[in-house]
Amino acid sequence: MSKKLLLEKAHVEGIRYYDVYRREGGYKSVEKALSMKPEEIVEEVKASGLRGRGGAGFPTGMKWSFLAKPEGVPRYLVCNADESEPGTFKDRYLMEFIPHLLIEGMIASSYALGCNSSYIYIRGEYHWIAEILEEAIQEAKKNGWLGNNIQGSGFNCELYVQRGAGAYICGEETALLESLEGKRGNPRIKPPFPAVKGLWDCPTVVNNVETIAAVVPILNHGGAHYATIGVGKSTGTKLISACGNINKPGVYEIDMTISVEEFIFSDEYCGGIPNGKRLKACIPGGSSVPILPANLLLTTAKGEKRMMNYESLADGGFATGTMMGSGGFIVLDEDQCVVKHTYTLARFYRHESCGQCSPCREGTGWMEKILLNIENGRGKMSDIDLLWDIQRKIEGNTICPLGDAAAWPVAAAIRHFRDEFEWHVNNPDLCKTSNYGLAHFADPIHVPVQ
Amino acid sequence: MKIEFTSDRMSKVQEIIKHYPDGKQKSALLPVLHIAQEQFSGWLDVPVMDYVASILQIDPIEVYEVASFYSMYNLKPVGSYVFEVCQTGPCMLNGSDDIIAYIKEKLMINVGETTTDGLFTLKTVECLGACGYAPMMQLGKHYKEHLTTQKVDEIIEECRRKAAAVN
Repeated sequence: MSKKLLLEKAHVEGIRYYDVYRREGGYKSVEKALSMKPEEIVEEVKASGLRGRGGAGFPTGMKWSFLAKPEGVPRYLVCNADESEPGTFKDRYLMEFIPHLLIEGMIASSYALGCNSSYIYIRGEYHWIAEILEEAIQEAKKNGWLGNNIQGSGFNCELYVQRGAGAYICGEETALLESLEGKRGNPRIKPPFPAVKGLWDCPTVVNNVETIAAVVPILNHGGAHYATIGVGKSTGTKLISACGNINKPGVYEIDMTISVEEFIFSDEYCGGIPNGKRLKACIPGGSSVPILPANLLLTTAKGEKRMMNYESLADGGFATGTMMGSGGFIVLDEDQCVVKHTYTLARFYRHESCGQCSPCREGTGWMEKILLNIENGRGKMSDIDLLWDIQRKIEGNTICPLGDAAAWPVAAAIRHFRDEFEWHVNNPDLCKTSNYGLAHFADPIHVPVQ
Repeated sequence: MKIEFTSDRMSKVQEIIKHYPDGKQKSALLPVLHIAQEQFSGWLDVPVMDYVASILQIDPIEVYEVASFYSMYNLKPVGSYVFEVCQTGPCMLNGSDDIIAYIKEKLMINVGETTTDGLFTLKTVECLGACGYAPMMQLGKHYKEHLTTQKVDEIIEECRRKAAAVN
């Protein structure tokens, strides 16, 4: 049983409301924070080894220490709740069931960073969750945790919720800031980084919901204690949102010491694949990270058991590994078509490209069209190489990581499932009615022509 | 019809503008467009966008370029009930294609169209963050999850009942 730090109390009846949350020990981290110096809190977060939970996995304490502090200039903390990576719905769960945990983390973090106005930018579609958060903020304010002179400490802080309006790109931190300023979500060129020039050109920290929430247990138990949970550089717990072809889709908090196999097949987590079907492939960290076939998913190329943590999932690089990403865990059973699934992801990225950079704006559209042709039996063998060529020319050639995010799923699908693409080309009629299934594992080199 | 926010909505707008430092009222644009769309039949006509620009003291073009960027803003009329069905990977794995096909057949419209009685619009959308509860759609403020054809029938009936009650 994994240790729970964030969702331990998520199922206590009435935990959504202040009174219950407070009774269960809520807001203690703010009390503790206010008795500390802000820089001591930053040190605790550094000591915890906490890594950004939005997808990139950058050390949070280090990000905080980069925040510029020029005299007389306000600083801002912005929570990134623009959860939009396909497969990811963990932040939603946290905000919906235990909203005060995020509010508490925001107040403690705002104090640590010296921010008097902080914002939660939530995706526009999570309308009802924005209302839950606003309600929680009102409760916190009524009880003296927000506003002026919080709990007699002399620290002032206001917290606001702002809804986006349907744009995946706003999950990228500089696009998010543009959007919060009332503009199109076009990512900015970095440097300058938000830590120096962020919201309204002021120093800004942007952190994911789960990252901010993790500050609460870090303060309550100490950074050193948090660092003892997990393994290596994967400290603490991680929320995994599991979906696709599994018996028990949902959000699970894991301590990063369990294996991928256990996560998929044990009843404590995903509960295996429905209808006795076999595992074909998995995208373990949100749609942008490389898809892996079952064999490489469960065991690394070195023959070790693959574990649910940053290092083990990335073992082998992109050749034979993948990434922890956002923790959006998508499972495909033997009846699923990798070409079709990759097509839906390519369509997603084409739809969500902001259009600033030509490689991404044009390339995502080309990839979508070519993948649809192959899926519908209208593809040519040369199309597979063309796809490979396009994704290679997008990766690394755009202002923001959306280009990479669009290129990686296509690259990984071709890298590991090229035979399935070739089968579509060789069997233009058959591929409309039947499926390549698991032939990949039975005979990875020979591509059957039927 | 004079384009003007109701007094409730206007005070909400004024409240939102206070969230930002002086002179940064443009930051209220996204929330104010949501409010405008809610009041003015679910879509943003040019005069409505011009009105929003005047409230926030920005140029109309600054509103148009934002309204056309974000997928939640409708730039043409929509039905009273907009079905926004997710079609991205995880929903597709759980049968969203069949749900979309069923709604098309049942309402006799294509994606992007509105029924002749003006009640329903069908849109397909990309990932709404409900992958574990797929297939799903957004209807107004809420999500309808674990969709089946039977559940779609119930939702349509419920909308029709609500519409009849309003008339």
